[in-house]
Amino acid sequence: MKIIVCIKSCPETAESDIKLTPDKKDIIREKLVYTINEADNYALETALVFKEKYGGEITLITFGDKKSDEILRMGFAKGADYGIRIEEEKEIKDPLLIAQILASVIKNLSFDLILTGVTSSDNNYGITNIALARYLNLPFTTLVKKVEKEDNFLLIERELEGGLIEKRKIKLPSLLTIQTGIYPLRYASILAIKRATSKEIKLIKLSELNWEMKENISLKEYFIPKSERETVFIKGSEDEITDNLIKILKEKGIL
Amino acid sequence: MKEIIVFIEHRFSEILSNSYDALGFAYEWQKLYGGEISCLVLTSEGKKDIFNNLKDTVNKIYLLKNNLLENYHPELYLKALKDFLKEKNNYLFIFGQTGNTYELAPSLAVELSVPILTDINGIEKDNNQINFIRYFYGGKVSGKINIADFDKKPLILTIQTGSFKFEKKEINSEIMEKEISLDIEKNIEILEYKKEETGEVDITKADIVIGIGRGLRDKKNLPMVEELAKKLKGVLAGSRPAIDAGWLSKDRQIGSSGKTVKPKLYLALGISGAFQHIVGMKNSDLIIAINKDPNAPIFSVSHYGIVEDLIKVVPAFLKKL
Repeated sequence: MKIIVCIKSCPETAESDIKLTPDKKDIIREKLVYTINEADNYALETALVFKEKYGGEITLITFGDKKSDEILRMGFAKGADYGIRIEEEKEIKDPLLIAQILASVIKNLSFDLILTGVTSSDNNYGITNIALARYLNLPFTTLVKKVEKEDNFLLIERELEGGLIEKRKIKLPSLLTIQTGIYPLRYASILAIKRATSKEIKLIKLSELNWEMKENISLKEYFIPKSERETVFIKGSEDEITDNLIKILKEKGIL
Repeated sequence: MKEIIVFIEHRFSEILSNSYDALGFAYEWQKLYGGEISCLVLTSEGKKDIFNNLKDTVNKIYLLKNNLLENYHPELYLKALKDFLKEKNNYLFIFGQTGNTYELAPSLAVELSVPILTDINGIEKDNNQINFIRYFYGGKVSGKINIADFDKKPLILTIQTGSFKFEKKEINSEIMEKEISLDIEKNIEILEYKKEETGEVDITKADIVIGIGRGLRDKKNLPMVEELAKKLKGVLAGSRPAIDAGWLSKDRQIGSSGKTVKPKLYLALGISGAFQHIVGMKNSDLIIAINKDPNAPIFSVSHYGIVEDLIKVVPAFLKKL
């Protein structure tokens, strides 16, 4: 089976202190750590499981700057075979345009399945993946939590609201967006990481591709969201904090 | 002027609440820019009555019928929506954000070559532009997005769960019923739906819920929070990262793809508070959050906040209980 996995390098922001640049057009990125987008990591994991079960090869594709080579190399270390980076010569905000760029590269490759994450942890649009499927005229399924191959189709469980699961069958070739938690993630060995540093990454320049659509989306500015509540912060030493906490719980009739 | 069309999604003969979020947004848009509001319903002849509640809340209801449309099917829905919208010049097509609109909205945008924005939670007029507001970076940052020629061209939007209120209005609705043809080759077959199995504890019935998140860091820290849950006579639940890491079973997940809780106390430990989690707990009577990041979005819905590492605070708290 030939599998393409579309991955993206994102800054880790869930546990980091985020501040805006003075012009409010970006976040301050200097101190942030970049890793593979969380959901894409599960897409990669799904590809690795498929390769183990059914054989074949995995090609990773990313659209990004030099930093993104790191996530390709991490993918190599885990077992991916090829890596392509489309050079992000200028920042593109419109996910439909990014999908077109990816499609213009992927349409020249041979594949049975494309996997991506459900959404990205930075912009959280959840558009690029399904738009890519449509530009390539492929059937698609989102929010995949379980997948098995049977002949030329896949049996899928996808996650809907409130813990509801939909089971469906989809023909190959197709595109799936993988939800986090589908499989436990593996870690690459130090030896494999070392070996991956010398592996070749195919670089494609944006200017070599034919794409015509103009960007429809622009960012006016970012702002830090206002608190919905007047949160009372409990401060002090550990002792004072826990005493206060107990006092509040007693007042509210919980203790 | 744009025609405002709200997509009405239904499942098991009920309209999904997310469609009312989309209607709430449509009213908000109408206040700023005027225009008539329509609802679009894809359904089978047998199921069309469930849309009676929408009568007299919007100007027009389009009922597009085909017996293949009894339940959601991505390819059939896409075909029906595309055929319907390609006849129109300038419209705003609005979805409530759901698992299915993750499929439908982007694919429809591609088919029609129309711009799209997802997970909108606010709009504001800004001179000749409109600012569409949505979260970035897990809710730590909001962004104002502009769309080129937004007034002249069609636009597809999805609306973040729970971000706009729907209030029933009294308007005479014109009903446009039409049988449509759906002659396509299908690559997808929907087999069945099943409910996630519920374990021995139902977290939606508990008075005290202790939610854990990424900040717990390691499974080895689980006994500490289990002991806390026991001492407070509460149950343990979690955000998606806690479930994905395998610390808790799926039936204990709180948020848009898990459960919604409204306990007397919700104690959030090491949960950053992505909006997908917040929609599942923000109506709790009392919310106390412990997180070492002072800018964690969880604090914006909390009554009390403690900016500390839970790994330090919880053991100290346990000693006093």
